[in-house]
Amino acid sequence: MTVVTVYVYSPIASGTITGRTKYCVSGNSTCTGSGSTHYGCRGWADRVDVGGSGALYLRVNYPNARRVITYIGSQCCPSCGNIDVKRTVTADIYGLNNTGYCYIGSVMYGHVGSPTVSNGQIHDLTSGSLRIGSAPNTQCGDCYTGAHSHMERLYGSVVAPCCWGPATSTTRIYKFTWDNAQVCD
Amino acid sequence: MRKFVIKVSCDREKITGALLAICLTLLSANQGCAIAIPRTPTTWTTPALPILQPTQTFTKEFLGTDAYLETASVKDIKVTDEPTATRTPTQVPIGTFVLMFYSPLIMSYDSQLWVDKSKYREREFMTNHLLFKELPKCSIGVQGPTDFNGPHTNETVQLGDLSYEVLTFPDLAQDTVSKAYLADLSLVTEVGRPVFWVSAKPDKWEICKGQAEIVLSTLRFP
Repeated sequence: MTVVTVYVYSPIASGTITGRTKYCVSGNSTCTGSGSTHYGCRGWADRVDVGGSGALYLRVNYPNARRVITYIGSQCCPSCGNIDVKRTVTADIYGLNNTGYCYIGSVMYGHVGSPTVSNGQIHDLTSGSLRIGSAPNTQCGDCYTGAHSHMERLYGSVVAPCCWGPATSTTRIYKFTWDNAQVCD
Repeated sequence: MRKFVIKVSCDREKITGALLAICLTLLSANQGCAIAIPRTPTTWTTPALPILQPTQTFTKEFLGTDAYLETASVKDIKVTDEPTATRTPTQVPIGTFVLMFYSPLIMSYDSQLWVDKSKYREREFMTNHLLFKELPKCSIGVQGPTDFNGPHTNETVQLGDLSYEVLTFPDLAQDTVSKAYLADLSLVTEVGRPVFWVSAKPDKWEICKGQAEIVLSTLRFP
């Protein structure tokens, strides 16, 4: 058995952690926030907001992750009229061993503008980054107060910096592990 | 995008060595030089730089990427990523609350009532909040760009000339009342609509709220 670790890094290259499981309140935050509960779009675990604008990338430590399948949804901010603010991109992450591709876990990115991936698209990675879209530089009521990326995970665990910590392209947000001795599809 | 400061020390004795990577033009042996800086490895642009005298230092701020900085980092040209502290006001006037995340917005506060607990030199793990002197748990803190997806109620309050949207949440700790104040849309900055948290002990909430709203009503561009 060989345990392989896959990290998912910040989708924004120059950002700040502004939300964890609770909202980050400057000067009064514990690591995971001290405001009210930061709810998710899909109801998955360990919501993280990375404040910042610009391109959004799915970033992983290739080649530990070798394949991503992306799914487009509309699961954030249901009352908001802006489709970019509502849009979600869910990425199923796979490793590869001599038996095939192994599902490791999933990450959902909320508020994805101008998506550069499509629904059901298979991406066989050749590097650790995959452009998925951009952070909408707008506001939508109280559901989107400024450019940021909202993340949630399925399986794995959270390793994100504490509130107000910096988030760069090498900042780990989630951690997944898989046994590459397992038999996969 | 990050902000860098390039400091070019134009020393006539060292100019030749810089030509390989950056187009330095010596205009005259004793009259100084000009510099062209690549915005990308293949695109060159010439910022409006003054003619420099030998040993004169010129400082210009611009936006650049890490790659850009690396490209510009060549022998004999001193390129420095300016320390954060020098970009941030280090002498904030008492009575002025500078919003680090929502720059350049500011608020005014009565320094006899409030103390600014901000650490203006530290951008990472930002500390940027006001504390009410008589009520240690009464504070005005900053919330960066986010999404309020969960259950809450909204009300609009008029604070002076500003209209705030106030969010109340059902799930906060029993020993604290915290409400989120979303600023007037006329004060949206590059990073979005400013959001603040006002927090206090439940039995002091009304006092704290009243004082905090006086401060919030002064939010403005300088």
